[in-house]
Amino acid sequence: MAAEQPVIAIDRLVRRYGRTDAVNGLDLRVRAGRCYGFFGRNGAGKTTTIKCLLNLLRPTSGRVAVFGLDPARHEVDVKARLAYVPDAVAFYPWMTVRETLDYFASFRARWNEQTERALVDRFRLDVRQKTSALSKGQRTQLALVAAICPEPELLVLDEPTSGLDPIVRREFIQTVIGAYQEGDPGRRTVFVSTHLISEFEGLIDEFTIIEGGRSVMTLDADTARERYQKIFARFSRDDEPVDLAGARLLRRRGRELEIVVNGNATDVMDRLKAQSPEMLTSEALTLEEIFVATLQPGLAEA
Amino acid sequence: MAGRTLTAQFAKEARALAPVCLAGLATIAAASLLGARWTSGLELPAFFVGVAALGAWSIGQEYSQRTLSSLLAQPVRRERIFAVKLAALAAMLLALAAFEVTVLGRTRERSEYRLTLVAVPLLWSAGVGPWLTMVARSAVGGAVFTVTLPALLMILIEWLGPSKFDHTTEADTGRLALIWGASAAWCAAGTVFGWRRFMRLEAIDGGGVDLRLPAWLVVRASEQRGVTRRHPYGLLVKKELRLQQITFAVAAVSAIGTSFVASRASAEIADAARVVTLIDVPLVAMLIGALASAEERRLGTLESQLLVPIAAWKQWTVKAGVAVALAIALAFGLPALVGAMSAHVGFRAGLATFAHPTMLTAIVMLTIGSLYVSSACASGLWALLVSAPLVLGTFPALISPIMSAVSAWLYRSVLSRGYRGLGLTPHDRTLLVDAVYWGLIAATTCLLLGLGLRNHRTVDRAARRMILQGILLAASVVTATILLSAAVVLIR
Repeated sequence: MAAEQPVIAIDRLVRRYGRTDAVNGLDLRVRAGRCYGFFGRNGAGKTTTIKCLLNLLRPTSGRVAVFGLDPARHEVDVKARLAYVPDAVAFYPWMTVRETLDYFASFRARWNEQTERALVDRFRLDVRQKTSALSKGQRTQLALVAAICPEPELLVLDEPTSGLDPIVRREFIQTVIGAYQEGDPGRRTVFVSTHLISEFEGLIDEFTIIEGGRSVMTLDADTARERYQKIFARFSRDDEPVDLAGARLLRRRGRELEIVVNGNATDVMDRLKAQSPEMLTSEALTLEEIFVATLQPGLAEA
Repeated sequence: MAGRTLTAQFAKEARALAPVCLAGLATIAAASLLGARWTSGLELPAFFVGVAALGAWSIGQEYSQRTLSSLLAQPVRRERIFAVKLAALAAMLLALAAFEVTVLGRTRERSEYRLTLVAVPLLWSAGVGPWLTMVARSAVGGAVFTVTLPALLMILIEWLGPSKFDHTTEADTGRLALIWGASAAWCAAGTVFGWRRFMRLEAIDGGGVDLRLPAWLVVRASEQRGVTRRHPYGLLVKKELRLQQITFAVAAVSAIGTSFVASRASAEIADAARVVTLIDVPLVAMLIGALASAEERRLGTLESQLLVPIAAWKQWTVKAGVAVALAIALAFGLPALVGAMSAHVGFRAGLATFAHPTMLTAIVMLTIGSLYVSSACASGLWALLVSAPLVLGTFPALISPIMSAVSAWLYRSVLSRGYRGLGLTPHDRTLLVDAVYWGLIAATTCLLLGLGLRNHRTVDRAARRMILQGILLAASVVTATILLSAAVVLIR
């Protein structure tokens, strides 16, 4: 793969179900070695996009490439280099945990047994247990083990933490995903679709927010945090007139004011400073706050 | 308020059962009303399958659609939920029975059996179907055992009747009484067990097939910590065989029952066992195809299976190969084996009629046809229900009338005008017609498998694609039939 070749390249992807456009002209690039967040509300088109990437759905129009290859034409080449954890995990009910891992290992060229042992122990999975007896969270854990042990170049996660308890969730995200990427930095890519954005806060390098099947924002996470700032000001009087042009009002209560700015923090801060506030602070928005600020219609431009 | 809830609940149940009822009506119509000779007599098995499917779907829908938890969480007493389910089921069963009575009235002369033939399956379905479905936690499991177990009961009664009382009018009356008594007892027991089970039902939906071998028969799962790699294709074959465990159970119950009875057989019992085999052979062939693809979708394992690094077409080839091999073994080989082992000459001779290349071809085509349907269905039971009218209806609705029309036209416009044939020897003519026949069978098989693969490899079941495929398949069958008719008439 050429150095500049993106791991995932999506150009003008359209996928229709009858008359409904689930994905409508999406463009996306994911570079190797990144942890890429794919955020959107329910029904935004995240799972449909992922299924098009994995050749589980055919695009209505547009182009999808994984490792520079068409996943429909180079099916096995693509599948051999990626692993997928779906939002609804299911296994053959007659298999035990051990048999399920053996089953998936048998299809893979690589299988890291050390990682398998470590994860099975960490998740406290009983290898003799039938998969039909596993809880939803345990099934997700097993799916994660089966996805990580082949050490794929691309790990595609669709709502991977929705069934996990908070302890396992934190451990999974910080330790498992982090360790997976650190195992071969620059080569292993994670593409994660999730609602629990805050859980992935420290891991996401870049993200796209999708709404109505279209990308509404693609940003590097650090750039996003620089651009999106939350400014808090407290004035000496209740009715202090404030020029909030170019800012979004989050809250105004008495003498206190909370606003969000996008890329023009210095300008807005200068204007607020000119009114001699008692207190004026700013901090970067979290990715979740950026997501909400981008999509929540209730936040009117001030 | 309570009345409105009751109405809504009944409407929901009726709406869920209506498509199954319609599929049953279509199957009976396909088997009887279209008038093909080879399907005459199959309207009764079609009725049995229809009522069994209704009984199983009454509860099975909650497992298949994973709605059991929300059903049981409704602020309604369980007694009422179950009673409404049974009421909706009874309404649908009566509709199906009314249609069957009309059909039997057209085609059957022995009216004394009509009531028994129609009413007894209703008792099985309403009484036992929901219970067996809850036991199996699977709609398809409930349906096939609702058909198979009473069928064996009937054979047993056939065996008991004449062997104890000889074949007299009294024995006939006694046999009917025995059938009614046994069915009523079976139904009462099923209703009681079903009621008790529903009152204690746990919301374990999507649990899949719950048929397990006894622990002493199961090879202990490896408890070792390390991974054991096996040949991927061997694992695929094993997985396909495990998906078919209900088929194995049905075939085993049927084979054991018929061979047990046939070993002690009289002529009447041989007839009964042959009738069961006549039901069993197409049922098993269609069940194998129906389970192969749709059950992966029902279990939710299709996506992860498609993403293992083996080409989807190779996985599909393994699936189709296992299905066809299994159909040949269980729907063709097993009845032939049971027949060969039978001590009764009549029974042996009866089953020998099944051991024919045409029957083998029919079994393979039934399996591949239902495998194609299965690739577009969300559960094995649905695939079975849709396969039955489609497969049974294709010959009488399309092939037979087209063959007649084309042959008549060719006779009229070609042969009657001095056509002298191709000048081939009789042997060559037979070879050529056979080549056309097998070529068309192969082409149809390839088309069904190709379209099936297309459906199987995508998680989307778009209506538009299915309509286009239906049109393509119908056009192909029409073309193939015209070609075959022309070959039969002109290469002579």
